[in-house]
This record gives sequence, structure tokens and C-alpha cells, in this order.
Amino acid sequence: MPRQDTSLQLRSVTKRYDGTGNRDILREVNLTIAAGDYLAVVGRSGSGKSTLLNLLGGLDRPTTGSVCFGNRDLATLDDPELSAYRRSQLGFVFQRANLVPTLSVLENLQVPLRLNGVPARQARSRSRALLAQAELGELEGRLPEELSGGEQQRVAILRAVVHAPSIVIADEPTGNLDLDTATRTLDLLEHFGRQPGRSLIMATHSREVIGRTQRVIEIRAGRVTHAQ
Amino acid sequence: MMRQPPVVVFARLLATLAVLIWVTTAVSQSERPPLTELSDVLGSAAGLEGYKRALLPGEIQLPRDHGPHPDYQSEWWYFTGNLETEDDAEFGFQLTFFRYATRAPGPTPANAWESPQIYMAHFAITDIAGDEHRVVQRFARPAGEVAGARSEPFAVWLDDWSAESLSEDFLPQRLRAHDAATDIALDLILRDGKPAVLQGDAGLSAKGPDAGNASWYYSKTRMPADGTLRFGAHEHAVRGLVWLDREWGTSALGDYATGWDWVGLQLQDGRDLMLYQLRDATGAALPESSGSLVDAQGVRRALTDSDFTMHPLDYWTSPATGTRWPTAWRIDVPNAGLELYAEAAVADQEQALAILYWEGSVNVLDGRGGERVGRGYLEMTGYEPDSP
Amino acid sequence: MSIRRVSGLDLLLAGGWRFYRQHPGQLLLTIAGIALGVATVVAIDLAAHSARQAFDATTQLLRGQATHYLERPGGYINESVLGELRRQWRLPASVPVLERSLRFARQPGRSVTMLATDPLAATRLNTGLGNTESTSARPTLELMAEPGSVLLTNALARELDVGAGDQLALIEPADVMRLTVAGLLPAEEGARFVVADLATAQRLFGRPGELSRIDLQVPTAQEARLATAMASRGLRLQTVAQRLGQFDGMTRSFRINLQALSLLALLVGAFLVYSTVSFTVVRRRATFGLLRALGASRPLIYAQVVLEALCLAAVGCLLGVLFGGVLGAGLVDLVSRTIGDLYLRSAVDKFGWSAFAVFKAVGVASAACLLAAFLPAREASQTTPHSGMQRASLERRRLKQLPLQVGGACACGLGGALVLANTSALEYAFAGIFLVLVAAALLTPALLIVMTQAVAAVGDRADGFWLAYAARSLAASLSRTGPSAAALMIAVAAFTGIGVMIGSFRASVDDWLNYSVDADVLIRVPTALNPSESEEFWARLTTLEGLAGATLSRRTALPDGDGLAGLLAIQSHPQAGRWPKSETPRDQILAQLSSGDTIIVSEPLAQKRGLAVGDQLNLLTPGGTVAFTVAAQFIDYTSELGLAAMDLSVYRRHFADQRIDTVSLHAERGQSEALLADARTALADFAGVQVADAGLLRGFVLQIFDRTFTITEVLRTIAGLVAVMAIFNALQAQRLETRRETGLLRAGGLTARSVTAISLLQTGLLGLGAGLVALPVGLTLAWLLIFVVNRLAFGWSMMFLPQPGVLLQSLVLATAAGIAAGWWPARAQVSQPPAVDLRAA
Repeated sequence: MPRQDTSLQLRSVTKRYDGTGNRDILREVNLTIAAGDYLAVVGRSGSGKSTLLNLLGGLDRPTTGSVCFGNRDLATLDDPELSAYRRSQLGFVFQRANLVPTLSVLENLQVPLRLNGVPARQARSRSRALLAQAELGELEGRLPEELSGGEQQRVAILRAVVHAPSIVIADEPTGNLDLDTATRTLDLLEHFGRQPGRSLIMATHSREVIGRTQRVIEIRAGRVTHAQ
Repeated sequence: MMRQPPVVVFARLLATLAVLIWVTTAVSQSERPPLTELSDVLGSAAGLEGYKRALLPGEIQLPRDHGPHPDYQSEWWYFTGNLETEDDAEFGFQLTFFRYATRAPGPTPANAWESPQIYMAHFAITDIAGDEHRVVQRFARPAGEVAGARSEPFAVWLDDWSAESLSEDFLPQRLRAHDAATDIALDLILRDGKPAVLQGDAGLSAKGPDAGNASWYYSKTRMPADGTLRFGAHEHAVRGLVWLDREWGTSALGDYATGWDWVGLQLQDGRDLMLYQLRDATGAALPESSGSLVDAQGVRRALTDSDFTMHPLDYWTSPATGTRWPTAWRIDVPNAGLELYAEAAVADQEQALAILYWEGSVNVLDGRGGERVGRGYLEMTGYEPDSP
Repeated sequence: MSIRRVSGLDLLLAGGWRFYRQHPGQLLLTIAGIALGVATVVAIDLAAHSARQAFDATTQLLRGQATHYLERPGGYINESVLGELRRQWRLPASVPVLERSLRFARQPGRSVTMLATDPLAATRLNTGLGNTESTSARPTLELMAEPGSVLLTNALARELDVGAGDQLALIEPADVMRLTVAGLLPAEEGARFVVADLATAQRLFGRPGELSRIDLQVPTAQEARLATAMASRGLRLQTVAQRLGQFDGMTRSFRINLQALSLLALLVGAFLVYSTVSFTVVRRRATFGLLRALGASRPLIYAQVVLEALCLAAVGCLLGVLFGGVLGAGLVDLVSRTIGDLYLRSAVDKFGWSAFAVFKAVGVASAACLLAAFLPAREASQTTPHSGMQRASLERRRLKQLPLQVGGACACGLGGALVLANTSALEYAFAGIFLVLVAAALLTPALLIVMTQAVAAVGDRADGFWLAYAARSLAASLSRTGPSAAALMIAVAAFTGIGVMIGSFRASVDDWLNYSVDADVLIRVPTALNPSESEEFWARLTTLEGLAGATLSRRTALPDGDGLAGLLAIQSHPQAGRWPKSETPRDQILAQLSSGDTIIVSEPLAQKRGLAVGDQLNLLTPGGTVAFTVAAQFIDYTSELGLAAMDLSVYRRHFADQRIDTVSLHAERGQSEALLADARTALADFAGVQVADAGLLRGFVLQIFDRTFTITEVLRTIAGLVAVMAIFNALQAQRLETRRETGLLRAGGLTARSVTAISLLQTGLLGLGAGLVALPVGLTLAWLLIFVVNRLAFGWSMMFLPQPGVLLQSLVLATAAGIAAGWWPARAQVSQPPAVDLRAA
């Protein structure tokens, strides 16, 4: 069975923001992430980790260079195609504000499924099953503001994988959490994030995270270096 | 030629007027007004106080009295006539203008609608050859000059029906009537024939034994006429003889009178015969019955109830009202040597209007030989099925 | 858009619903705004619809099988015409009718219509007079026989609490006679009138021989001939359908103006929708960004916002229709009475629903909401996925949009001006006005920024730190408050515009009254004046004390074919009179009128027939068609159907009509009271002559005017209400924006009192700013309504008076509302610890 190429490639990508003194956040980055890679992205605050992740997720466009998913340059995709890419191929976990504040936990989980055309009943049952699997079933009806930071992140992780994406991108998922909660969260992320053929990319400070990943890349002065 | 007690006539008229309005406005059927209503309202009919009364004979002055007499309670101008076309097709017509006062004369009204007078008119044409009779009734109040009468020059009218002198003289005059709904119309010029005849006692016609219970009554018994007549789709040039009865008064009636029969006959020998017979419950003639015989020169001979007899010979029952009308009569005036039959030219000349009566053209036949000796008009009232 | 792409919409809407529930104030305000707009449109339409039905009902009761009506426009028919119709024209089914209003002592505040006819004649048309419930079997006969007896409709009898046999005293006409109730007439629910015999009515109103109209059946074959013959005598023959159309024609001005104003109310409501939806989009920017990041497509987000707006619209429409029904029912009385005052006496108070009116209002409101939601929906869908954009850059983006807005404003304004300058259709004129208002709304944020910068500069220079801070803070938050400020501006502009328009109308009418009712004493001459009486009458007139001169006039229908316009034959006193009001000098007009077959035309007539000075107008006279030359145009507000005027002697020469309707007496200086008193005494014994104080009459007309425009005042109040709502809306948005900032200030030691003061300063500035922008916009709106709409619709020219009072009112409204709207939230805010503010997103 021909498998879709779900690798990500950055080729000579440079990202510059206007109005910030013409500083290049990323310079001439070349990077390949194969299907199934488990990757950590490290660097100091403001080094461009988030920018790199945004580019990978098609949330932003490079100033020069190309970001390719499989063989397709994301820049050649129009908005509907880009949206389709995001909702079917990606699962995103942001640092905060991951959940739609006016939807319940269960509803938040259903969003990616529904966006992909899964019928309502199926989406509900799948979401419920996933929650049960993660032993978070009792949070089902709560609104995000009623959850603690850790609970929010865990729900966000589930939301990022509920639709079986080929790439999961997490931007400092344990950033604001205490050690115990962070560990639990990380376990959850690895458990659900690492599936055969699914890439998991994390931006992080944590040594523990770095210890668990397969690859580590570091961003320094806008350039990417590979470690390990 | 409403015979007899204008009182009976008027009282009934007023009553049925009321009922008529009630009936026509409530439901639009052409039923006969129920008699219970009549008698109810009769009881509350307007009183006779305050009107002028016919008391002493000899007060009629013509041509002044051709016009209206609003101080009297009721009044009419009754035209009837027998006409024939150039092809000898025969028609009869009736055009009557009635005036009634709904209350006694009083102070000048503030506006024309306060006038106590009401006018009513009946217009009928009988197509004798076609055996058909059509009649129309209208009411109007004199405001807006819609209806009225005047003398010198004479005219009486209601809507576009009128009798109007063509000059300062009473005759010749023009008689006109027209109704689009029933499609009948009449336009005649009447000329002078015999002089006017004062009926009763020099014009005073008593209706009952009491003084003042009388009316003023005169007739123009024979006026040659010609003009046009329309009945249905056809219009004809016609000529013939017209009879006018004029009566006005204020009178009341005892309950003993049931109805009356009246004839106005124009004989070929030039004589005109008017008879009216007031009937009691048994059908016998009452003493107030009377008549006139006018010779070819216009000289009148008065007839009392003992001078003549009228007997019904044949009857016709109306399918519409169930009334049994005598449509053939034997008429005898022995001192004048008259033995006549009067036969309805058309059986159904019944008129169920404000009053139920029969008014129609009759053929006058010789009592012995049976040949036709004249034509005339017959009027009958009081033959309702449940009347006593 | 395939279903797959739109899937998940219900989930998004669920989230949206929860969001609105968390901001109940916004939700309620917006729904209320829509509801008010819809209610106004519905109410006006339904009230007008009911009035039309009322008109029809009055005529319907007596109409029966009549096919035509005959009347003298603006006057009475002499009952001799009835005889003519019956006798010469052979129309037996001709029924006379006299229609007047009276007031019972039991109900001094309300007038009742009396329909008087000849019951005997009425049977010829099979009218509804037959259906009486009465103890007597002959109520209609009683009407004729007993003077003063009347029939009442069921509804009226209930209102007055009377039954058959009771007596009723009258206060208008003053105590001529008492009326006796002969029976009750079952009629339409809400129908309230009195039926009487003509004898009673003519005596009661002192009008012997006069009728309001004659109802008749005319065979088609005779119709044209009869119409022409009657027209040459100034009588108008109309079919039943035409008369109803006449009602539409007569009340068109009234209805159009009301509808324009109700549409304005709806527009303001739509702006409110725009501001709320904008606000909710702005507040949910993060959510939209998240959804986009999750792969929601642009059309999906767009659909969500639009659907939310439509749901608001739906609820608003529902409430609006219900409220509109209530408002309409209340307006029916007002509208009926106004129409009764202005045009004719209507007799039905019944409020009737019209499905068309409701659908129209709902349709227009929904379209407006869709339109209003368009821009915010587009902005929402354009949200960059998970934008890490800071508010500041957002503001920068906003500022970039500013030139776009100004450009758009210029485009709309230009477009609107073009449309208005070149159109002769009312609908396009409304569209043009709409464009102009949109232009103003688009400009408002830019103007407000300029204003706040100016205030900040003043604050800097005058060392008012907090003033400058308040101003700058306001300017900075304009991305959030811009739409609400626009809504506020529109509402205040509507408030101003309507106020100026009404004031200008009134001043114009007042001024015109001085020209057209230019006498001191008015004498109504009855048509039934006998020739013998009339000599005496004129003799007495000429010997009145204090008389400077007299103007004689006669009013009939204009015999130009359809007889809808009026004709005034007048002999105006050259020195003492002032009529007519025209651009052409009076001397010139009078000279031309008396010099030949000339005529002057009112503006509406000129517009309708396309008549310019010098043109010919053909009139049908008994002697044939005569061409009259138009010598001038004059101003007349009495009828949109038009009025022409000619010299009385010219009229008499052509039309063989020697009658006079009105004698206007001009008094010597200071002698008007003496003249009035003398006239009253001298003419007292002529039946039907009425002597009136012209000054009182002018006052009375203005009273009617005021009552007419009560309705517009109601609309104006609604606009004001919406303005206040809009400002609450705006300030809610603004408050949420600056919350964090305020929290920081309070954490830094600012007192609660100062916080409140700053808040009030900001909100006051916002209100004042919007108010200042609203003033010229309102004036423009008024100008357009006066000079474009009314001129297009009716051809009237009116004065334009920007009354300072109204302008001040508007400014005060806007500023006071602003301050008031800032007061309560400020108090609420300072009652909580600053940490709450700091936590705010």
C-alpha cells in the first residue's frame, strides 16, 4: 500500500519580522523530519523555537525558502488546502490558550474530528473513548476555566491526537507546570503522541524531555544545529 | 283608485311600510309580510289628530286641487289605462303616485328631510297578448326634489316617474315611467277628454258614518293618450284611453270592512262607469259602497249601494300568495240598463307590494250577447287567505 | 462549499452561544436594538394598514352594492343633485350620505363619526343598515320618524355603556339636541360610529340641504358621460376602488414620511448589530485564531459569525414583531385620529395584522443584519491562525485600515451624492441617503481619533495629565470601540435629523398659514342660501364694523379629466390679503390672474402634471375645453393631489357657478375683535352660516400638525433610546479593553475616585465626540429629508431651519448618555480588587 509521504522539510528557510528592527529570527535553516521522528527543539527564550514550529505547522510563512510537507511546498497551497493540511495532518499543542473557552472538554475534543467530517455521534463516542483511555473521563462536561493548568494541557494533548494526525507539534507543553504534573503530562504526550508513523516534535527547556527524545536540534542565533 | 277608507289603506300602508323595511333589510326575500306584524303595528299606527279633514262638500277647486294637499294624511294620483299598438296588440298600465304624511302638520321643518311626507309609487304594465304582468314599487322622501307634487303648472313625480302638464293647463300632460330592472317603460301624452267628475257628494266621499271621516275625490274618466310603451325587449307605439282618480283625505275605519272591489270601465258607447263595493266579513256590500255613471257628454249620475250589484263569477288562485281572487264579475246597474261582465284580461295581475292587492286590465262584455263592449280596470283588496 | 467543509458548524455555534451567554448585556442590547428597529417598521406599517381598513369600513357599512361615489372635494354637495341623479340621469339607486364627527358628553376626549343617510333610499343599495338588533322591529323607520334617534355600533354602545332607549348628550356640536339610541348595529369589531337619519344630522350640524356624498350604482355605459358632466360642475365621480386608492393618495405623504423614519430606526438598529458583532469578533480573536490553527477554513468561520448574527436577528425580529404589534395598536388611534384630522373622518379603531407588513419588516431587518455582520464576519475569517499578534500590532493594523475606511467613506459619500442628485425615484433617494449615512459611519472612527488627539494635545499643553491620558487611551482603544461609536453617531444623527426636519416642517407650515389663512374672520357660506336671503346677507357683510376688505372664494374639483386635484376660485383683496405664497411677486400674480384665462398651480400639481410657467392646462367647462395659461407656481400644503387657483370672475365666466363657499374678512388695524363680534351678531340669523376666528383656525391647524408629528416624536425617542443603547455597548467594549490597564494603575496606587473620574472622562469624551460628529450628519440628513425626499415625493418646498435647540439637545443626549454609561461600570469595577482587572485577558 503506497504510503503518503508525511515527512517535513525546511529548505533554506529564513524568517524575518517587520518592525522588530529587521532581525532575522531564523536564517537559512535546513531541516528534515521523517515520519515517526521524535524530536526536541531547544534554545533560549526568543530564539525562534515557536517560529520554527509555526512554520512547520503551516501557521506562518517563511520570508525566503520553502517548507515542504511530503513533496508539496506549503507556500503553494491556497487557504482551503492549507486548512485541510492543518486539520488532517497536524495536531498542535500550544503553550497556553489551547482550548476554546466556550466549549466543554468533550466538545473541544470533538472539534478536530468534526472539522474532518466525522459525523457528530461518532465524534462524540470517539472523544469519550479517548478521554476514558486517558482516565480523564470525569472532566468531560467541564469548561476550560474550571480546569487546572495541568488538566488543560492534558486535554489539549488529547485534542491534538484525537483525529490521528501524522504530525504532532507541541510548543513548550510543560512550560508552566510543576515537576510532577509535567511528568504526567509528558507521559501522556508520549503515549498518545508516539504512534507508528507519527512524528512528534516538541519545543522545550526541560532536560527530562530532551532526555526522552530521539533527536535534539538547537537554535542559536537563528541557525539550527543538530545535536546528538 | 284605492277605493274606500284611505284610513284602512293608510293604516295598512304605514304598517306594511314598516314591515317592508324590516323585511327587505333583514333578509332579501319577497315574502308577504306576516299579518301578525301588521296587526301589531296597526295598533300603534299614527293617530289622526291634527290633520285636516274633509267636512263640508263643495270645496274642490280645479285646477288648484290637481296639486298636493299636505295637510291631509293621505293622497294619490291614480292613472290607469288600456292601450293598443298599431298591430292591435293590447296592453294595460297603472301608474300611481301616493303621498302619506307620517305625522300631523306642524312647524316648518329645519330641513327637507324633516318633512313628514313620504311618497310611494306603483308602476305596472300588463302585456295582455303575452299574458304577462310586471310591477315595480318605489318609495322616496321629498328632500332633494327626488319626489313631490305641485299645482299650476301641475306635476307629480317620484324619481324619473312623473305626470307633468305641458303648459299652464292641466292637460295635455306627459306621463312617464321607466324601470331598468323589470325593463318596462311608458311615455304617453294625455289629452283632455271629458271634464273632471266630482265623486260622492260634490267631491266629498264619505268613508263611514262619522263626520270628517271622508275624503275628497274626483276623476278624469276618459283622457285620450298616445305615445310609446316598452315591455321587455320591445318598444311599441300605442294609443288608448287613460283614467285618473284623484283622492285625498284623513279618515279612519271601523273594523267591519274586510276589503273592497273597484271598477273603472270605459264603454264603447262613450259612457264611463265607476263602482266601488266595500265588503264585510260575509262578502256582502256595505252601505258606503257607491259609484258614478258618466255619459258621453260628461254628465255624471251618482249611484248608491242600492243602485248596483257586483257578483264574482270566477276565481283564480295565486300560486305565489295562495290568495283566491275573483277574476270575473257580473255587474248590473238596472236603472241604467247595464248588464255587464268584467273579466280579467290576464289572470295574474296580482301585486304583492306594500299592500297585497289585485289591479288589472279587464275586458267588459255585454251581459246578454257576450261581445266586448269596453275595457277598464278592476281593483280588489282584502282577499288574503287568513283574512276573515 | 461542500458539506465536508462546513461540518462542525453546530459545534462552533454552540461555543458562540455560550460566549453570548457570558456577555448578556451585549446580547440583550443588540436584540433590543433590532427589536426596536423592527418594531418601529412593523408598527408604522400596521397602523397605516389599519387606518386604511378603517377608511374602507366606514364606507363599507353604507356602501352595499354601490359602485360609485359622488362628492365635491373639500366641500359639500347640495342635495338637489340627488334629484338630478334620480330624475334626469335615471339612477334610482342613488343614496345620500352626510358624514360628520361629533363628541358625546360621556366621552369628551374622543370624537365619533356620524353617518347619516336616508334609510328608505339605503334599501336600494342593500346596505348593512338592515342588521340591527333592537327590541323594536322597525328601528330604521324610527330613525326617520323620531328626530334625534340614532343607531350605535355594538362596540360604541359598549364603550359609552348605553343601550336601546338611552339618551346621549353632546358637547360637539354644542347641545343642539339630545340623541336617543333606537338600536344597536352589529358591525366590525372596533367599529365605532353612529347612524342617523339625514333629518337628524342636518339639524344637528346646521347644514340644511347639504350632503357629504352620494353613493350610487352607475351602469358602465353611463359612467363616462356622468363623470364628465359632474366634473364640469366641480363634482367628482369615483368608483369604489378609486376612492380607496384616493385614500392611498391622500395619505401617501404621511405614510412615506413615517416609513422613511421607521427605516431609519431600523438602520440604527443594524448599526447596533454591526457594533455588537464586531465586538464579539474582537473578543474572540484568540479563539478564532485557535480554530484556524486547528484547520477550520475561512468560510466556516465566516458562516459561524453570520449565523450568529442571523440568530440575533431572528430573536430580535420575533420580539420586534410582538412589540411592534403592541406599539402599532397604540399608534392606530393616533394615526387614525391624525388622518381623520387631516383628511377625513375614519371610524374604526380596529387593529389588524397584515402578514405582508410583518414579512416585509422581518425581511428588511434580516437583510440589514446580514449586511451588518458582513464586515465583522470577514474580519473573523481573516484571522491568522493562532496569531501571536499582540494587541499593539493589531492596533497598527487597524490604523492601516483607517485610510481604507476613509477611502470607503468618500466612495460611499460620493456615490450617495450622485444618486441623490440624479434620481427622481423615491426608492433611489432612500438608497442615496443610506449611502451617505454609511459614509458618515465609516468616517467616524477617523474623526474621533483626530478629535481625541486634539484633546490630548490640549491636555498636554494645559498640564491636564489625566485628560491627555483619557484621550489617548480612548484613541488607542478605537479599534474596539469604533463600530459602537459609529452606531452611536448614527443614532444621534437620526435623533438630530428628525428633530430638525420636524422643526423645519412646522415653521414652514406656520409661515404658509399666514399666507393662506391671511384674514381675520372666516365666514362659511352655506350652499342652501336662498337668493332672497343672500341679498340681505351680502348687504350686511358690507356694513360690518372694522372691515378693511373681503376675499371671496369657491372651492371645487379641478375639471381637468380625473378631477382629483382641487380648484380654488378666488377674488383676493389686493391690499389686505397676503395669499398666495410664491416666489413670483403677489401683485404680478393677481394682475395676471385677472387679465385673462390664467391659472396658478401649487407645487405638487406642477410636479404631477409637469407644468412650468407658461404652459397650458386644459380644463373642461360647460362651454367646452378651455386652455388656461400657467402664470406662476405657489406654495400650498393642503393636498399632495394638487391645487390650482384662478380669479373668481374668470371662473364665473366659464363655469356658470355663482356660488361662494368662503368669505374671508380682513380687518382694519386693531379692529379684528370688533369685526369678529360684529360679524357674529349680524349674521346670526342665517341658517348654516358659520363665522370663525381665523387666528384660532391657524392655531388649530398647528395643533393638528403637532398631533401628526407626535408619531415622529415617538420615533425620535426610539432613536434616542437606541443611541443610549449603542453607547452602553461601546463603553462596555471599551471598558473591557482598558480593564487590565486600569488594574495596573490601581495596583500602582490610583484611588477609586480617580479611576471613576478617568472612566467618566473617557466615556464623556466618546459621547461628546460622537455627538459632535453626529451634528453635521444629522443636519445633512434633515436637509436630505426636506429637500430631496419630500420634494421628490410631493413637490413641496419647505424651509430648512437648523434649530439650535435641537442641536443642543443632541449634544447633551450624547454626552450625558456617555457619562451615565460610564458611571455604573466604573463603580462596578472599583468595587473589586485590582487583581481581578489584572487577570483580565
